[in-house]
Amino acid sequence: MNELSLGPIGSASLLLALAFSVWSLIAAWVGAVRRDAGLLTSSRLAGVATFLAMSVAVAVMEIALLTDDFSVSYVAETSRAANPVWVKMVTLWAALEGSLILWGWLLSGYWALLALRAPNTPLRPWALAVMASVQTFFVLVPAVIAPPFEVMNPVPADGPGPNPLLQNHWMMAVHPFLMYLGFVGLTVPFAYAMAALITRRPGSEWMLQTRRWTLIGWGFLTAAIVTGGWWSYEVLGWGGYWAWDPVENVSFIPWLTATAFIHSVQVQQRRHMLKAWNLALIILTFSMTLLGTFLTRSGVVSSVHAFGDGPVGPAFLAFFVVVTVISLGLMAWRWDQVRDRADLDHPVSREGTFLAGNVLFLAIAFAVLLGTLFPLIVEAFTGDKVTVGAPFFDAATLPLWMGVLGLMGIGPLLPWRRARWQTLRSNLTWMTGVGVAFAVVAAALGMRGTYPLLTVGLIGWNLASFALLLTAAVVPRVRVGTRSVVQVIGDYAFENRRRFGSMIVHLGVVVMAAGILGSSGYRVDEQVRIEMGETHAFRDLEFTALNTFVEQTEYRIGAGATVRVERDGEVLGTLRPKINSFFGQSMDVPTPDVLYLPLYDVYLNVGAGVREGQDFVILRVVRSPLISWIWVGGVVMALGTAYALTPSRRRERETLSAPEGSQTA
Amino acid sequence: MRSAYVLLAALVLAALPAQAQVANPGAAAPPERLESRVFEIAQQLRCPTCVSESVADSSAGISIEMRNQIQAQLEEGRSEAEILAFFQERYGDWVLLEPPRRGIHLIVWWLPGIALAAGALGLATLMVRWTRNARRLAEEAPLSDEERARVRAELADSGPGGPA
Repeated sequence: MNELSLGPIGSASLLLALAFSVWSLIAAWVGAVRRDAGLLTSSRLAGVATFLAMSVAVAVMEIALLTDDFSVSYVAETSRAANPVWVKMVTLWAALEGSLILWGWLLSGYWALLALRAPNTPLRPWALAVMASVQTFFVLVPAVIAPPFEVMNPVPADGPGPNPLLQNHWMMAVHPFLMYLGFVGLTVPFAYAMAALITRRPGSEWMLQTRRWTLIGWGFLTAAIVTGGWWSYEVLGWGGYWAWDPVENVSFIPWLTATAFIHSVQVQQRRHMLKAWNLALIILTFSMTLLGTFLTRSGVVSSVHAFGDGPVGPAFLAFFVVVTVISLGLMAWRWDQVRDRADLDHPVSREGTFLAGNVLFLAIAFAVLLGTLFPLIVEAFTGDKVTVGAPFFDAATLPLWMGVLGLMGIGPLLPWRRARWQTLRSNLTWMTGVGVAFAVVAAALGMRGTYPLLTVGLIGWNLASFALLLTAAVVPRVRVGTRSVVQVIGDYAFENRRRFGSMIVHLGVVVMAAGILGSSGYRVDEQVRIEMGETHAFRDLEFTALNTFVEQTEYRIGAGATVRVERDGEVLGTLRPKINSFFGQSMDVPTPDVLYLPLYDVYLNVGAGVREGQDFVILRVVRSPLISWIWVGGVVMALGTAYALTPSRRRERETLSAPEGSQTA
Repeated sequence: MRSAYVLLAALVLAALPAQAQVANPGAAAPPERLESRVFEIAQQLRCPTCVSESVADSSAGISIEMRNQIQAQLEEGRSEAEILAFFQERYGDWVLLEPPRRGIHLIVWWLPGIALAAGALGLATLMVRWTRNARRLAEEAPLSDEERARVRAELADSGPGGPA
C-alpha cells in the first residue's frame, strides 16, 4: 500500500499547479501587454493545466483520506480510520489546510471554464491575467505556506478525526462547498472590473460579460448562508440559526455588498451612470471575502492573542491589503475615465430606489463589520475586553432592514427616469392600505411592538406590490389578446426571465422576513424534566417520554430519549433527541430532533447526559413559530436566481421584431 | 487552532473563581426545570468560556451553571435587571451581549448612525447635482418642434404603453 507514498505525489501536484499558475500569470500579463496571441493561448492552456494539477491534488487527498494513509500529515491530523466513508470524504474541508486546497481547486475550475468559454473580447486577456494572479495566491498557500501533504515520520496508527460538530450532520457535505462557490464566483466580476480599469473601458461591457457569473456567485452565497443557518439550527442545540457570530458576519458582509452590486449594475446598464460606484462595490465585495477569510483562518476573531497563529492568517492579511491598495489605486489612477457626468431625472424613480437601497445595504454592511471588528480594535489599543453581541446587531440593523423591505416593495413598480404621479399615487394607496390592514389584523390578534407590527405591515406592502406588478404586466396583455390569464402569466414569466426571477427572489425575501419575525420574536424556551411514561404539558402541546436509549456504532455512541409530541390528543410525531460522543474526541455533541410544522417547529434537545436505564430525561424544549419559513424563503430565493439564469430567448425576439417596428414607423 | 484551545482553557480557569462565587450556597441541587424567562435573560449574557455564544445558546458547563443560577434567583423573586446586574458585577461589562451605552462603547453605538447619515447626505447631495445635470442636458439639447410632433404621433400610435 505504502510502496507508492501519496504525500510526495500530492505535494508534487500542488507544486506543479503552482508552476502552471505562475507561468499562466506571466504569460497572461506579458501577452496582454504585447498583444501576443501565442502567449495568451499558452496562458489559457496553463490555466486549464493548473485546474488539472489541482484536481490531481484533490484526488490524491481524497484517496489518502479514504484509504486511511496516515503518512500524510493532513490525514493524520484530521481523519480517523473508523469513520464512515462520507465523513472521510468531507474531511477534505474539515480543517484549514484541506479547505484551502478545495478553495484553490474550485477557483481553478472557474478559471479553466472562463479560459475555455469566455468570448474573446478586449477585456478577456486582462481578466484572465487578474484571475491568474488571484489563482496563484490560492495555489501558493496550500503548496508552500500551509502544506497538507507533509510526510509523517513515524506514521501514526490512527488520527483523532475531524471536529465532532462537523461530522454530526450531512450538511457538512453541502454548506462549505456552496460558500466557496459563492466566494470564488464573485472573483470573476472582480477580475473583469480590473480588466475594465486596465484597458480604460469602464463602461457596461465588463458587467454585461460577467452578469451570469455575478448572479451565480450571489446565488451560491445566498444558498450557503441559508443552508449554514439551517445547519446551525439542526446541530447546535439551542433552536436558533444565526447568532451574529464573527464567522457568520464575515460571510454576510460580502453578501450585503454583492446584493448592493447586483442592483446598482442595473442602473449603469440602463442609465450609464455609477461607473465608479459599481467598480468600488465589486472591489469591496472581493476584498471583504479576503478579509473574512483572514479573520476566520487566523484565529484573530476569537482573540487578539491568537494573532500570528500559523502563517496563513498573515498571508491572507497581506493579500487583502495588496488587493485593496492595488485595485483602489488603479481606480484612482483611472479616475478621469471612471467619473461620469451622471444625470438623474427624478429621485422618485427606479434608479432612485436602487441608490437609496445601496446606501442601506452599505450601512448594514458597515454596522456588521464595525460590530465584528470593534472588540478586536478596542483590545488591540486598550487591552480591554469588550463584547458586541446579538442585541447590538439587531438594534443597529433592524431599522435598516425595514427600509430595505420598504424599498423592495416600491422599487420594482417605479419606472426608470421618472415616476408618473398618478400611477405612483394609486400604487402607494393600495400598498399602504394592504400594509396597514395586515398590521391592524396582527395587532387585533395580540401582536405588540413597533418592529413586529412594522414588519407585518411591510409584508402586506410587498404582497400588494407583487399583485400590482403582475396586474400591470398581465392585464394589458389579456385585454389585447384572446388568451387566458394563466397563459398570459406563463408567457410573461417565460419572456421576462430576469424580471420574473427577481420577483421570485423578492418573494423569497418576504417569506423569510415572516420566518425571522416569528422565530426571533415569539419563540418560547423551557427546560423540563419528564419521568418515563409521564406526560408534560407545554403551551398547547403535550410531551410523553416513552423510553431512553443508548445506541452505539463503530465510531460513536448516542444516548437520548424517545418523546411523543401531541396536540389535542392528536399525535404530531415522535422525536429522538440525543447526545453523540465520537470516539477519539472529548467533546459531546448535542443532536437535537426537530418536528417541522408549517406554523411552528417543536425542537427538543437533551439537556443533561442520559445514562443507560435512566428513568427520566431533562429536555430543552423550544417552540419556534414560522421558523421553517426561513428555509422555504431561502429555497425560493435560490429557485428565483436559477430561473433568472436560464437562457432567455427575449433578445432574439427583440432583434426579430425591430425591423417590423421600423417599417410601421 | 491549538493555541486557541489553550486560550479557551485559560479563560475557563480565569472564570472559575467567579463561578464559585456565582454558585448560590442556598441552592442545594441545581434546578432541572427552567422557565422560559430564564432563557430570555440568558439570551442577554455572554457565555464566558465560549467564542461569542450566549448563555442561553451554549451547552458549556458554565452556561448551564449560570442558567441554573438565573432560575434560582428568579425563584427568590429578583427582577431581570437585578439578575443582569448581578452577573455584570462579577464578570464586568464584558458579560453583557448588548454593549452598555457609555464610555468607549458609545463609538460602536454612534458610528453606524453617523455612517448612515453621511451616506444619506452624500446621496442627497449627489442627487441634487445629478438632477441639475439632467435639467442642463435637456436645456442644452432641447427637442425641436419636428421631434416633438413625431414623439406625440408615435405615442398616440402605440396607445397606452405597458409598464416600463
